[in-house]
Amino acid sequence: VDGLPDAELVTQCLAGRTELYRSLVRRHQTRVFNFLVRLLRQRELAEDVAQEAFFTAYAKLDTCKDPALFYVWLMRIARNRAFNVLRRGRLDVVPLTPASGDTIEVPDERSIGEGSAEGQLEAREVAAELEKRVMGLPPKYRATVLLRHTEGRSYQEIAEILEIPMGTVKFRLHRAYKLLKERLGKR
Amino acid sequence: MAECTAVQARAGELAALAPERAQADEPHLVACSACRDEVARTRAVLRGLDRIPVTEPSRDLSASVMSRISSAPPPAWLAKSAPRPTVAPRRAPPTEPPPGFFASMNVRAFALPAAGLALVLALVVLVRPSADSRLARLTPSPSAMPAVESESPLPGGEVTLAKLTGRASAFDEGAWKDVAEGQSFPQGRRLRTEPGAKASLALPDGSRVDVAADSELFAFADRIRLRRGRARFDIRHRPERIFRVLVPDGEIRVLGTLFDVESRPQGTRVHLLHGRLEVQCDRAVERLEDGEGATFSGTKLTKLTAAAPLATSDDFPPATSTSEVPAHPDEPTSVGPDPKPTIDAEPAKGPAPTGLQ
Repeated sequence: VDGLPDAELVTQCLAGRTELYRSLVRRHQTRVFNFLVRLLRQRELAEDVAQEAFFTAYAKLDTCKDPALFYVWLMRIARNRAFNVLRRGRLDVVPLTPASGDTIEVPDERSIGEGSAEGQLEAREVAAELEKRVMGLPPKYRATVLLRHTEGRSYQEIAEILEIPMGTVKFRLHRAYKLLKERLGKR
Repeated sequence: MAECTAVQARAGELAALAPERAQADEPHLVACSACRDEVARTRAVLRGLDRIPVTEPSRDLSASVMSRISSAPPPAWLAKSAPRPTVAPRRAPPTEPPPGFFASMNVRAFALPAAGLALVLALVVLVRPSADSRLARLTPSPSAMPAVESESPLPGGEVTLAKLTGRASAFDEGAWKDVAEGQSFPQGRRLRTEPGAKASLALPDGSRVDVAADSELFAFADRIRLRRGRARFDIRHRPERIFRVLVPDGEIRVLGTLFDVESRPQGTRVHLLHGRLEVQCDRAVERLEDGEGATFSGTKLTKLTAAAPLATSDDFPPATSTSEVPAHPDEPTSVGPDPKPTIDAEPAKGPAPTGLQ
């Protein structure tokens, strides 16, 4: 079952094999959570919103027009949920700070590119600093950057998830890079 | 200069390419060191962004998602497209599934729809207490089913600290801050009571959560995430939702009731004072009646027909008068017709049941 593509799992689920939805959750939960935790900046809330997104996706599974694009459709639901939460001003319930115990881990050695030890350390510091800066970006820029760089999504996929034109995706990324460069320059 | 502006507007696109390829794609970079530097700085940002690590959820979300799916009414598409498990009511799982129950694929295929249907039937019984309670005769129409919980997953309203004895605090703007009686909080706020303290929270719909000393939780309108400690829940029955108490070992679904929960590293204990509860741990589900309890830890769920009390009235603030509890706009202020049970004055902590030590 775990080797079946999303489209097959969704189709079989819709045909009554609802237990297969568990495989879809397991397959995508890290991606959805990884996106939400940086968008919402709070681990507990991100887990709650991720669960709501998966539950909503199940309840409306028949409205997923292209089962092969289940991931994009699911991320759109997650994004909508997260932005609803952000709009309600619940963003600051528990900020990610060392005191909260919810700090996002600094990347370990495996996630750093090749190079000297000093280079790796510097890359790690830059990534950690950038992560903080990304989380300080306005939500719409943050979402775009996260989808591009932590999710590795194409411009087209980002446009579909965020429901914006591809030109807007490029513009937001350009603006975000500019902001990040400025902010890094002020370290 | 105009050329520089145009090239720098493409900095993100060019930075994604290797330097040589970027220069081949944009010859201006060969001649202009300022643009070359700009693209190089952007490239450093992109590389840093690509190295931001993946953050995993603290637990497998599939268990809680599937648990919620099994407890919610089946979605409309399932009713239309899936073969309805007409045998489900007769094949409803026993209180304790026999070993290997879920290992059978044939049975598993019907387990979720059957559980959902059983819950719908149970809710209909609760909503219509005067109706014939024989489940076999109940055939709920779609309009009689409770609304899907996800339609209002984050209902509005604030959580109020209605009573406080001792010291309690809320995590706000990166630090724990003392809170005062009468203070309100947005949903999702992390709250804790200090040793020796006790507090009472009023939820937006008038439900009440009494929190014992040295406890910590997240309070929402439709759920409480109890991280540690003990709490007593007096939850208004609302047919359109299932209130949930989330603990590290599982979850407790509330059908309008009064009960105590203790969450410890060794596991969770529940004692039902009044009403009905459904407790789920992994795939095991138990329904509790008055006076019953359960312990659960990991994947083990044990029902206790005569549960030891988890708390006494001394562990919580005195009862809040109904006038102090903010009522849900759709519901009258009164607490309801059922008299609250008297909590006896036995010692607060009985011996922990087997399985939690």
